[in-house]
Amino acid sequence: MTITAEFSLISHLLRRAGLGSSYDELQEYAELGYEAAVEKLLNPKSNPNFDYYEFIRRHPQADGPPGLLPGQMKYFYFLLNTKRPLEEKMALFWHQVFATGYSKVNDPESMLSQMDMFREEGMGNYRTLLIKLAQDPAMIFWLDNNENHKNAPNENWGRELLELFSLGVGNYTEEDVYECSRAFTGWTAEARMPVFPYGRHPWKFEFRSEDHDYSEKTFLGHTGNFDGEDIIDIILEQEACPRFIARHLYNFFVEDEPQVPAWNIEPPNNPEAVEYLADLLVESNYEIKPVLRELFNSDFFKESAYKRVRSPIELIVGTLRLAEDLIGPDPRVQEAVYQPGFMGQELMDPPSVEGWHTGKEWINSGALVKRVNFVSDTMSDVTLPGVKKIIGRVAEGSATMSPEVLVERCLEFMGPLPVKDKTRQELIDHAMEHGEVGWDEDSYEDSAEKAAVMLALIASTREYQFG
Amino acid sequence: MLTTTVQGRTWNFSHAIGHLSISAEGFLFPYSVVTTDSGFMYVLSRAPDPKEDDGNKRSQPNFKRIGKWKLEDEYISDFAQNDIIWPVSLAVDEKGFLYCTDEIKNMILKYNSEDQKVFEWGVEGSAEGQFSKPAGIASDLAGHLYVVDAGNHRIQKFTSDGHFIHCWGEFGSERGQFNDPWGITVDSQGFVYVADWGNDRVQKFTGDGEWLQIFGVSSPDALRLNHPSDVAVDSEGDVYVADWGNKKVQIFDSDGEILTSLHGDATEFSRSALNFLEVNQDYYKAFKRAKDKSRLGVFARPTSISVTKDDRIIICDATRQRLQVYDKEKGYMDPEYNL
Repeated sequence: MTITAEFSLISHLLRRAGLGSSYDELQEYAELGYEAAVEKLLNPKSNPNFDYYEFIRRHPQADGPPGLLPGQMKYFYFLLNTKRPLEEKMALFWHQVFATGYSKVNDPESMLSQMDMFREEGMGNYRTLLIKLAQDPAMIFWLDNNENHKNAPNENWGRELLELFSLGVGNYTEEDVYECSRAFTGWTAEARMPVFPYGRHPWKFEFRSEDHDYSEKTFLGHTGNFDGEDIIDIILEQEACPRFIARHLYNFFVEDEPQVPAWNIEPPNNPEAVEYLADLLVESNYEIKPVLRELFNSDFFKESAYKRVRSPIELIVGTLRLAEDLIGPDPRVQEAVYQPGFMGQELMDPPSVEGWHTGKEWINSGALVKRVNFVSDTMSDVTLPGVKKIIGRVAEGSATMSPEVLVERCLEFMGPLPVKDKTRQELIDHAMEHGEVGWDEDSYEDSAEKAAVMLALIASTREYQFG
Repeated sequence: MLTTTVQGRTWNFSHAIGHLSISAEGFLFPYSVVTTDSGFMYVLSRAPDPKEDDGNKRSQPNFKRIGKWKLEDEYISDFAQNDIIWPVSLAVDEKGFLYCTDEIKNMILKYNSEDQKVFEWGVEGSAEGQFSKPAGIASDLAGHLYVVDAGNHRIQKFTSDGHFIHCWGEFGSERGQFNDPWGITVDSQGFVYVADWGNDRVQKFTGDGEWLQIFGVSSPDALRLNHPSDVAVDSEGDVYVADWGNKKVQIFDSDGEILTSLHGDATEFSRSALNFLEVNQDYYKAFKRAKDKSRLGVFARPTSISVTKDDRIIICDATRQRLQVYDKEKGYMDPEYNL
């Protein structure tokens, strides 16, 4: 087939607004056309998701995980199998912004409940999301709001709400942090049953009025008897808030920005785009979906293909979905949940409340070796359904194939992935060592192996690390 | 409510067995329970998949196992740890041999009463005698084995040494067809009951596969089965269905009419849970401090049911890591109101 510009664009869309895709899935979206593909992604509830019952029948540990690994396995399964790519990608986005970690929470079910909330509300209203976040037991325990008492305020949640979840450094004072924290006193999680002897039970939000500070507070220039919801409303009125969220969206979906702690000193790469998204947030009254619609249809998004370093999750899940490996119940999923951690992105356990550092910081000598090994091992496995299909498409309609054509066709089905001339020449040089490949019955198996080596080499290129 | 009485029948909750434990007197996702006439019970712990320690991160040892117990809540031993990958179901034949299905290995494993593996058979495929995700397994009085071949949507009948006899069923939702079936049982008259998981029903057959009856589809909407995982029959012909999707056990009479539902009544700790709490006082304190204990006793995901010859009903409450035990009272009569 001829790769059109729109086909390449939809491939880009599925990498960014989704988690990559098999080639069949890419073709399904391509048949819709770009704008309709965006709408399909924006309306996940119209697509039935994977069979959850089949998943927990074969992975019962996901139905009430007693430890970190089964919890991560459940999350990883969602990433690999979702039929609602943007819903899952937005959950990952909020997991990055509102980073909460198992290392302290010690309760995978509560972490997974938070992820469910991100799936449900991720494309909804940011105000609703902030309120639900403030009432989320995993977040309450993670940022010590259970220790935030009327007579002894704890500022951890209040500070991070302002610094990392809504405004950014430089847009509030220490006094604001204290007053904000006072407004959230009494917002806690109820004492729940312990993991032993019968496993976890759901953890619920509890408001303790006797521990809430009902006295007057002055916050960001407003004075009154504020509670948590009032504080969130005042935050949303600040000019810094939509800009902060817009910059996060730009960083996650469009182009690598400096790390979040530097945002008060480093301007955005594309200030106009961030301002545009911020204005949209305000216009939509903080509804996220309309902003995403404009973002994915914008020129700055369409022109950003392969300009972002793929996060470990994007790299691993995108490659597995392309190769159609570990799709559906499989005992090897438990083993695979380690891979993102090896590359610096342990699911449900970010290094701190600041989340993961992104962009070039995903790449270091150790992580790069893991990344290259993982993707090349996967794409060289001719037994995997997706690899078999790619090879079948590469071979389609040709009795023999020159090294140049083999490289070109493999690049088409690996993205399509544009590579620099130097990279293309290196790939051709390798292919030339074997000369022409034949696709008749006698030579198919041998040629398939050669094509798989080429796919692995392409997956090992610098270009494939970007998405 | 610890006693359920309906139409002259009474089920009394007796006790819970086990707790969340990686070994010995407890379970890790108990997936199947089977009892013997000689007073023993085998419990299969499916457990999370193991992960070897490669020096980088946390490891996860293999806790999959079959536990052997006396029916009176006395742990004896664990075995089969290294034989099984994704074990699903257990059965005991009339000679006391134990069988275990494995849906990844596509095999049936056979153990003697000394817990030693004596035989195994099966390869992946769809031909006669081959398997795709074997699930439930049951034995009849003549020693035949019935295996739910879930991925092939059929039932296969074997001799006790693995020789294929015949099979029936195919994918679909018509009578005699299946959609990813799971549990199976054979009653004292040789009738075969299959938990047709994906079709939200139980089907009854003769031992030769002749279709007889459907349970669960004519019930009112609120009582419709939702992905039933297992089925068992007591000495009076009442049929117990593990209503996995609805997290309860439904009881039908032999005509297929719903009698009642059990939702789980284990509000008291099991013996082993009490032993655990006695030496782990922090957990006991945390339990005492917990605000909402209302759901302590209810089933979280019932997967398997076994009925003993004297109508003791043992239910795997998989996600709560325990068994719940009920006794059926026979010949019960409601007392006169004016007594």
